[in-house]
Amino acid sequence: MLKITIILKMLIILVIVNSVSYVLADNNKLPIYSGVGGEFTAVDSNGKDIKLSDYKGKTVVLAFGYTNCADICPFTLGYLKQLYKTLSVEEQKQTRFIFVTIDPEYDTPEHLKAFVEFFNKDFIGLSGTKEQIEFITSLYKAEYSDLSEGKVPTKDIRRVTPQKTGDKNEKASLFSHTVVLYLLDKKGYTRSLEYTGTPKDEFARKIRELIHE
Amino acid sequence: MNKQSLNKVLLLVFLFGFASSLMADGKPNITTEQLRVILPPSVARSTSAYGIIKNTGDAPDTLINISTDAGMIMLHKTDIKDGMAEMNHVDEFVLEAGAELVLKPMSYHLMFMNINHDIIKKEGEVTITLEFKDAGELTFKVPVLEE
Repeated sequence: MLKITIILKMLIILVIVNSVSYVLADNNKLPIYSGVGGEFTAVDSNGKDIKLSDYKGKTVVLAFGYTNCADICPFTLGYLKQLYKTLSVEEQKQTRFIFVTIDPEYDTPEHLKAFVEFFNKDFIGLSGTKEQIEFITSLYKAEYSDLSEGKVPTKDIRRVTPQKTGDKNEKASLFSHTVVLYLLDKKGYTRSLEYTGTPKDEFARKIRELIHE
Repeated sequence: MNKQSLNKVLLLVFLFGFASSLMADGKPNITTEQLRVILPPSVARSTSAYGIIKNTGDAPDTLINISTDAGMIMLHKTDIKDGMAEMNHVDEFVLEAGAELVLKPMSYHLMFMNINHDIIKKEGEVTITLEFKDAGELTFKVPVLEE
């Protein structure tokens, strides 16, 4: 009888320990950012209409920017190029790196294709109508503003240069925009918010974690 | 230390100070290091130049203008505020004596717009002229590199 009681107690402890470790393991999982992201439609760099859910089953790294961005966007894509290289071929197959333009007027699908493929031929550029882009940025809280048509006229930005042009219509695409890199899981949920300062190994580890979920 | 040695040391200190005063001409001296233009994708209308602009002289100077043969150019600074990147132009930049302006991603950079892809191309070379209040116009030949 004593032996049975001991065995029962051990079983109960085992069950409790197992439950706790399950909860701990669950807590260590990347959280879901509820309210950030969701289903959207856009046009990919091949001119094809797509939905985010078309990438279901793949881990997605989502970035926002525009091709006339001289500093942060090329730097970000350079960072993503290096990050992509740290993944194995199999991991690359399970991942999609997507660059969403916030300047769909200039960034046509063909244009975006040439731009993103300069960094990596597997990268995907997404464009669409202005309404589609505004919807996507609102989903991801990735608000942006057009500096050239809005608060800062280009001609005033150019005060530092002695070069003058007679073109009154001259304007440059200048936007302020989010620097966040969104990591989405295979169901399209936003699971981590990163930036170019994130060590690539750490970012890659999170991508792998989502691939193997 | 005896008196003779002390005199020698004092003489050396005096000579060093005298030589230094001769060398210090009270003027700025602008140099650059690792200045490079980043090779852009063929469809891009913009790119950046990074590197260091130094004032190794002993008087401050102010960068007032920039020009290039490869498009429009300006000094910009990327500021990150609440996760948003803001591109702000910099009207002029004071380089104190011995100071440097570090141009790097997500910070100060020379921004090119409406670029000439015949010049900003692989293995290309771009002419950049920096105009300072005192040092005047200084022209540099800057290579186009991938990063």
